[in-house]
Amino acid sequence: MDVPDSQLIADAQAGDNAAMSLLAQRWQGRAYALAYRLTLDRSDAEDIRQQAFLRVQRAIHRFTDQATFSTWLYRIVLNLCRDHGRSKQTRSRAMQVVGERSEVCGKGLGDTSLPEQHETNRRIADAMGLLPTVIHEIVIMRHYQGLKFTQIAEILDLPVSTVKSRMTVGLRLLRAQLEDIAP
Amino acid sequence: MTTNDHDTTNDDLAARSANEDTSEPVGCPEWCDDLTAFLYDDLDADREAEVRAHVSTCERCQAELQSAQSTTRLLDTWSIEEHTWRQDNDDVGLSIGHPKSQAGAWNRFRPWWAGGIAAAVFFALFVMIGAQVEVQNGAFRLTIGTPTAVENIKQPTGAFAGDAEIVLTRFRNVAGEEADSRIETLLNTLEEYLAEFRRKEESRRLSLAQAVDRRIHEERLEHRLQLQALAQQLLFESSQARGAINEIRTHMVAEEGATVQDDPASLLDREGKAKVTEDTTTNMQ
Repeated sequence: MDVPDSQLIADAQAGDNAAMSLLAQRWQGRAYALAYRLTLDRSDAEDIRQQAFLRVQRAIHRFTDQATFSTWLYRIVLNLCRDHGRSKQTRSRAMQVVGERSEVCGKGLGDTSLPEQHETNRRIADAMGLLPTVIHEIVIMRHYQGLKFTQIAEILDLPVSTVKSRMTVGLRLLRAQLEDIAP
Repeated sequence: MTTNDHDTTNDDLAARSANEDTSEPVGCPEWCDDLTAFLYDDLDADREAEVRAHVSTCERCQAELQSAQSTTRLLDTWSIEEHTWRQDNDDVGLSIGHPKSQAGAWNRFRPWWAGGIAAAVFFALFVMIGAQVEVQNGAFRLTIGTPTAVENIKQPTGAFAGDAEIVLTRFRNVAGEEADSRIETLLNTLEEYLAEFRRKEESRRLSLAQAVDRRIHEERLEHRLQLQALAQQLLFESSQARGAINEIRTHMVAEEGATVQDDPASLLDREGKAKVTEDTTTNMQ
């Protein structure tokens, strides 16, 4: 049975490096995925993941049970993404680089035999890059990270109704951008 | 967090953008947000039942829900690079909509044509540079470039066959000499490089040895200076001690009327000190 996060955090606060390692191992994939979806850049996402866990390690003794570890970690990752300005840069340069990113993504999954999927990837990445930051983050966290609206609301320190509303708007914006290829 | 003001501004902007850009049917405003939550199965049971009941009777919300569903199905197909952490965290959000079978199919397909292309390119290069492979006495011999003109000359026949054979032999000898000359040149060049390398190595070794000697000399000099300073300090302290001893002796003589004729320096050793004490005792008697 897995050791709960709360136990690992307590051990890490007591100076147990192994517990800190296990905690990082457990959450680094999710942190990386969020950063990657938001930045569309593998190296930026890797940098953000490393910085996030450095911050976690430095501040673990200040962590309290008022928020869950995941909420804390996601906040750190989002702040790092904003600090790096990757989201805005990504949006501004989306039209130029999204094809390249999608091409890389496509090759990673070997869909060179499926050019229509490659084009779909490019279009979706393009549309995502054009979303406002506040909506982009919510769409990524809800749709691709699988977070509940209540969790997202806690992470962003917003009312749940606002998060739902922004998600609805995000889906409509994406629908408008992708209408010609939507099923 | 302190992003609320900024978020609100962007939210309004986004909402306006959504309303301007979207030509899709919009459901009942009071139900729209919960329709989205319903779509993501993110409602409590009671509210979900209410939404379900409303949608069953509202065409606008049915259209809205279908539109959102088709959008989310499309979003499911957006793939990004897989990461090695996926093995440890299967739910990291990188694998949505991308069955592993695609990657497996790719891996099964890649070696066939990739290997074929590599072989074709290699063969083309092989032909372009005129490479030939021969087997001589069980060993492979690789020849690059066209055969020499001398080797292509056919065996002469006819009246001048003898003269031609002589000329051909000379050609072959000349070719052999030319090859030997080239090899010799190469060997000479190599020897020169080696000699230059050795000379530089020797020079480096010498300069290194000189540097070591210089350092040793400097350290010796430094030690010598330190010893000299120490000796001077000892001398100074020694003269101070002599002065103190003389003062003591003068004081003793003044008090006891003793006459001390030996060298005050004799007081520095135990034997001398004993002698002075003995003389003093004798005089006192």
